[in-house]
Amino acid sequence: MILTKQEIEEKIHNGELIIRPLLEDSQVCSVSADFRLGCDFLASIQGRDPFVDASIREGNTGNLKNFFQETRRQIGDTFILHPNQTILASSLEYFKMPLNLMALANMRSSYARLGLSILSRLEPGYCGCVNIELTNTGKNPIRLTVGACMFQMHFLEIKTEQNYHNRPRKYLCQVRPQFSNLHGDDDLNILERVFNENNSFNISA
Amino acid sequence: MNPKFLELSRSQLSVSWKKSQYNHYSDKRKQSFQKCLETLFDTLMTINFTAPEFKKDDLRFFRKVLEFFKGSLALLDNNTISSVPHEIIECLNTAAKQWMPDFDEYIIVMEDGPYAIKPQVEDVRMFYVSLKAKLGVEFKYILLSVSMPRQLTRDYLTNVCLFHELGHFVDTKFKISEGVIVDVFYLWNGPQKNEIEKWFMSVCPPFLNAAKQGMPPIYISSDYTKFFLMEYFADLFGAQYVDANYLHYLEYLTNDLNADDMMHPSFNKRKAMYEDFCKKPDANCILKLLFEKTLSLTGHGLTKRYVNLDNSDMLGLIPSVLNTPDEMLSIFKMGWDVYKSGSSEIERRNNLTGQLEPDKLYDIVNNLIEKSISNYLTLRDWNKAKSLIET
Repeated sequence: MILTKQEIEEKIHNGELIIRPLLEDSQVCSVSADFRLGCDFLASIQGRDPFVDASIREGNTGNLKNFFQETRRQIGDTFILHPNQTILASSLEYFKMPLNLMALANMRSSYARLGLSILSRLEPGYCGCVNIELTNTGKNPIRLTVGACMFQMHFLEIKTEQNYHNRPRKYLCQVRPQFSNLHGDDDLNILERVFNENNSFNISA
Repeated sequence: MNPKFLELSRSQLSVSWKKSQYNHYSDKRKQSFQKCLETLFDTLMTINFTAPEFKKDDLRFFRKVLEFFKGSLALLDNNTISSVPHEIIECLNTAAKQWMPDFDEYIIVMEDGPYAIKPQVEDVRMFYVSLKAKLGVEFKYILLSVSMPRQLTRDYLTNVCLFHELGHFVDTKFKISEGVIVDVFYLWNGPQKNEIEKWFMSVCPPFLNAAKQGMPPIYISSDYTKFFLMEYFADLFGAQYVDANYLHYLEYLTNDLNADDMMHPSFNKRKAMYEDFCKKPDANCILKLLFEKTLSLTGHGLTKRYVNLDNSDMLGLIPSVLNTPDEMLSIFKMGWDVYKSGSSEIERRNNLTGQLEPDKLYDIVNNLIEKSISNYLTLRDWNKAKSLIET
């Protein structure tokens, strides 16, 4: 069930859903809540490494940080997003979700029409700013204003409460965009083992 | 002084200026400072340092101007918000304005290095008067260098040390420790000699050796007394905002908690001074002198300035709502209280599976301190802008 304005407002009012700071009550719309572009960015750059290594081949522990530059802007300042550039940003607002609510985030129509896209979601129990992978799919650079209401969130009620903290979480209470921590995924270790087992040279055989 | 070396220095400056002259700053005060540098540069380029009318004093003045320029560029370059923790600077601004209403004339610029706060030039106002009189260039703002270890820019727990450093800056500006030295010596020559010596043990090696041979400790000079007074004042200044939490980093760095050095009282002396401060303003004679001198020179007393914030938001993994500047400055103490209490309450309130690792607890507390301050500043600026539009 998607929450309506009244339901969203009720949950904010009784502290079930935390959105801080909520600069304007009008950010809560009929079936969604708008939220804003935050001040911190990880801008993608070309580094000296030939590629982004998302594997753990040959003991690689990740060179992701070499492909991003950290930058900040004051609220009200602007940021230029170039064609085909992806930046990691975060929301100005910090969310804490109740255990029976999840959220889907996408662009507000006004900004989607410029060629911007995101797709993000918040799990039940999530706490932190929304991590946003913002891509300019258009042909022209776009100058954005930090703090502008660019995104919207639809809240979906789920039938059974889910405990967000039932396992250790990589991104907890984040307040700025974080580098991917995919190298902490156990699956990659298992896959590396599978590959090595299938491709090892057995001398005794 | 050979004027040719002034020309060399100016040539070095030209190279640096070519790289920096088109820097643009969103802070209007920095932009104004940059504009003054441009005017100063143009003026410097017209001066013939080898002209016979310039005397030694003139050449020294030109040297000072050139070094001031180079120092300014070094501070301003790369001092953008990307590297500067905006939240920390706003907190320092807020605390400083409680003591110096004219603090807006200072532009805080960050440097990588040990914790310190100092203006770019000593006696900067007199220097500016000379600049205007001799070269016709008027600077309105003063660069205030705040140095901190670069890797700790987002460590709000450790950065409480900056409140101690701000205390040194306030002390220097109002000459508080300097004003107390004579009173200290007066008391030392009177019936409070033993109490005074408790706080000012002899530390200079020749006298320390004499003390080891059984001779009684004695005062070295007013300089050492002043250094110790400065540290006591800065500690008390910091304690107003962050309670005893500025002492943690100090204790971490100190090998021998009982040892004085040439410029600092021992950790144990400083801790004892803080404990007396918590009791009352005249709990010991040094505290009484510092308190009275601070009040007479600044119009403000040394007193607890933090408020006790409700920590339930932070324990619930959400940023705190801060409503006033005092509450903003109090978030550091609250963050420390949460950090020191460990992760068990956070784990319980949030149904965390397993124990929160120390690294995670450190990240969470620092993030929530930053977000709490940031939210307060955002709301403040938003509401102010809205009210201006509506009027």
